[in-house]
Formats: sequence, structure tokens, C-alpha cells
Amino acid sequence: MLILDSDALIKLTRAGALHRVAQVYDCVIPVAVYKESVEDDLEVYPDAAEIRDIINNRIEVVKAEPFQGIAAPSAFGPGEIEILMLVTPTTIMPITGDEATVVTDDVRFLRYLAAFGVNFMVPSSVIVTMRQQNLLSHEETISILESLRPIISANEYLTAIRVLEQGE
Amino acid sequence: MPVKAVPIRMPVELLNIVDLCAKERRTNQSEMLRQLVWQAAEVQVVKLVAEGRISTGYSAELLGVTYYDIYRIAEANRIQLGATEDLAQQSYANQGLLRPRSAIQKDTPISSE
Repeated sequence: MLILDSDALIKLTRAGALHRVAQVYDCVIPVAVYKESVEDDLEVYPDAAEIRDIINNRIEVVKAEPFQGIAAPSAFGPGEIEILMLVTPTTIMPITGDEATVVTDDVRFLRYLAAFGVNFMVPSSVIVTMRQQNLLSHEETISILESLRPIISANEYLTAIRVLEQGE
Repeated sequence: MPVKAVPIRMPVELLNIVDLCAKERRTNQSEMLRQLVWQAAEVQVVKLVAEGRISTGYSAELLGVTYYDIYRIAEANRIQLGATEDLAQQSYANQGLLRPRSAIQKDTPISSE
């Protein structure tokens, strides 16, 4: 199961890939991520309307339970904190499990997830994995990665291309 | 938004520039200073996101803007947001966790709708 933050939703949408990811894998988002990526921005950004439609059709919006007895970590926004509520072992959530994987491209969030042993993937690695599972053609994969290129780091893009070429 | 008066010493040369900008923008010195500080604050906050000091969500909350605005500010100032090389590489260790829904057959290309 994939748990996506607003960063992943927006980047995958801009690359024209969110509906494909949501079609193939079980995806969930907490309520705060829905609010950040859709409700706050629907009138201004066309991406928000597209994200809303994909969520309504294919992504489950779940309510996160607050942390029990511990303070929420600092320097995170509401969406990231609700994702941590979903995956942190000190909370009791039905979707917590070894296979829950957070998809984000936010450096601070990624470092935090890595430090606490939470599974994570960056948006480009999800796309490369879809190619390796033969769910995308080589041309489609390259096209999506090229669309992601301006909005991800150069290192992430080059890593994706390298892993992709190794698997072809 | 609540406001607070802050006493500040500034070089005369810098104040001259502020006054010039204020005149050109048809505003006053105080308003021009606020605008300049606000623009600089936006850039600095997004740089903190790029460095991994704060998250994108927190930066949006701090600046009172949307996620989409953070990307706009980053793009306008050529600030690259995204995973570092080591984090990007680490994420491939979890590829095995991605299992298509049972209704989706592996090796079946997904429609682009």
C-alpha cells in the first residue's frame, strides 16, 4: 500500500502519472493531504481539480488518529504529520504494516522516515518500478521521467535513469 | 495578520535603494521594506526546504501559502526541490513492496486513459 503526501500527488500529476499509479497500486492519503492538495487550491490551480478527480475515483482518504502521549515532530506540515500518525508504531492504525510505503520527495520528510525505519519511495522510483513490472512501456517511462525532470532533483532524475537502464 | 513594530538600523545606501523602489512602485518606505523582506523570506524558507531543514508542508504553513505556491517560488528562484542522491538510491530498496492490485496482471500495460 502506498501512502502519498501532497508533494508526491502534485509531482505525479504534473508528470501525467498519478492516475496510472493509483490504477495499479492501493493508495491512501490522510485527510490533511487531501485538504492541502485539493481543497485549498481548487479554484486557482488546475492540478488540484485533476488530483481531486483521481482521488475520488481511485484513492482512499483515511482519517489519522492523533499521537498518543507524544508530541508531533516539529517542522512538518499537517499532511506530513498525519502520514506519520498513520505509520508510526506508537499509534494504532489498521493500515500500519511492513508493506505500507510512504511516497514523498520532501528531503526533511524522507530523512525522518529513513531515521525511523519507515518504508519510503520517491515518485521517480515508483515509475521505474512500474516499468520493471512491465506495467509501463520503455517509451512511457522515459516520457514520465522527462516530465518529472524539471520538478525533481537532478540527482533523483539521474538515479532513475541509471536504475532504468540497468533493468532494460 | 498581526503586526509588530521592530526597530532596525540600516545603512543609508540601502535605505536610498528602498526609497527609490518605493518611489518607482508608488508606495511608501515602510510598505516597500515589508514587501522586500517578505520576498526575501519566501526565498529563504524555500531554500530551507531544499536543504531538508523544514518540510514543504511546514514552509507553506509558515508563509501562509499553498503547496503549489512553494513550487512556484522555487521555480522562479531556480531552487531545486527533491530527494538527495542517497535518499533516491535508498528508495529503490523498497521496490519489492510495490505489488500491483490483484486485479492488475503483472506484465499488463496500464491504459493512459
